[in-house]
Amino acid sequence: MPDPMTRLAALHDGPLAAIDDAAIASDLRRARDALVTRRRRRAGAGAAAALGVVAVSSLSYALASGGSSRAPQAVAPRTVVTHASGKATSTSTPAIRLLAYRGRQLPGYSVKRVPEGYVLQGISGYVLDIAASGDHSPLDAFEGKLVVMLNDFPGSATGTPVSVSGHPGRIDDQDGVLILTYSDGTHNVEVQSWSNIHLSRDQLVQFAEGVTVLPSAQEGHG
Amino acid sequence: MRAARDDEFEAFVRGNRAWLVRFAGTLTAGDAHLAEDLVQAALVRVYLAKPSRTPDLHGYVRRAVVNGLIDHERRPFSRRERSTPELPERAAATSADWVDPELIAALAALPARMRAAVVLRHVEGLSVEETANALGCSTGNVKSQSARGLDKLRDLLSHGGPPTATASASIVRPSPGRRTSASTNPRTSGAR
Repeated sequence: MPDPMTRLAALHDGPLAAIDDAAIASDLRRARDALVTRRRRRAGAGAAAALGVVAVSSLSYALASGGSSRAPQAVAPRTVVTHASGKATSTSTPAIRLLAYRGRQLPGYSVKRVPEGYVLQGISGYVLDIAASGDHSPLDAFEGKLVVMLNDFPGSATGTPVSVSGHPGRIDDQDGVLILTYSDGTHNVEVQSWSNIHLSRDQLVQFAEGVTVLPSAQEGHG
Repeated sequence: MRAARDDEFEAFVRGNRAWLVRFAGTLTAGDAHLAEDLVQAALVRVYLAKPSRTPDLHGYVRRAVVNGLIDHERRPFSRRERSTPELPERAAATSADWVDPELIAALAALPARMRAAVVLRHVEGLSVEETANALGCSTGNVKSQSARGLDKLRDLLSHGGPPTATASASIVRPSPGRRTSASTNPRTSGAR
């Protein structure tokens, strides 16, 4: 009876099943469906944000008009930050400020800065959600949020090179979502910033530099 | 219009699906349905990641299959098994379909991570470092897991194979109780 190692190696030389075109077509269909689902979710978030911009712009115009017979007064351009939840706030440029975070911390991560009006919403498995205050959407819905997670694979090989506390990383723009991937020396960290937050690339790096991954953080797979 | 991503993906699937299915089949110790599920899920990940933008696509898809198995083992049993009104797309393989059904049945007796370490090292021929990368653990852990796995296989095979070995692949599934225990299921044991 050969040693298990020899028998294990022989498994690698076993016959391969024939791959038919139907199986490949099914794989492609499933993959396309998954991509459509992902894009639809993102588009939904974008539409909600756009709706918020229109609503606030209309309100600004109505207030400026004041309902009088005078011609509408010019309204100073404003940058409007909206949230997927429909809640809207306005700030001057830059779109949003990063502020020191003094709220409760969650297991797995320590966060020093958050966008103004945002809080640590919760942590689900290996994902930390940072959402607009009052956002009660499920933790597995990332739209409109700043999301921090650990991956078990290196970050993107494409995108703009950046430095996060001296560690190399990249920022990739995927359908309007800024995705920062970097290694903190121990973990492969990914931060997603959805477009409606209006966080600049520099601010995204500043945010990441304020995030410390703790030993209790869990890594996602696949 | 057909996207370049589709062409890249199709070429990858055509060139790699066969070994992926065999790899997943070995990893699941002959559970053909689970192996097919893992391969399908891993291929979706490949498509979403854009094949042309993933430097080590083979390593990526291998990791996706391994992690899919480990995640699967963590889930409660009720979420794995479900009834469907239709027969599955492909017939389940039996252990008799393998070149060494006794060894496949013995592999089923190993815990998932230990089995993965053994398969990656001694079936796929990966180095300790490559295996550690695929499993997301240290090289020391790979060495201990694969050494203990080999010892266990030797023991099982020298005693005429695992007690559950028969001609049916269905018996190689690990018991549901092990998968739902708190110690192996951090995502359902209050880790959230």
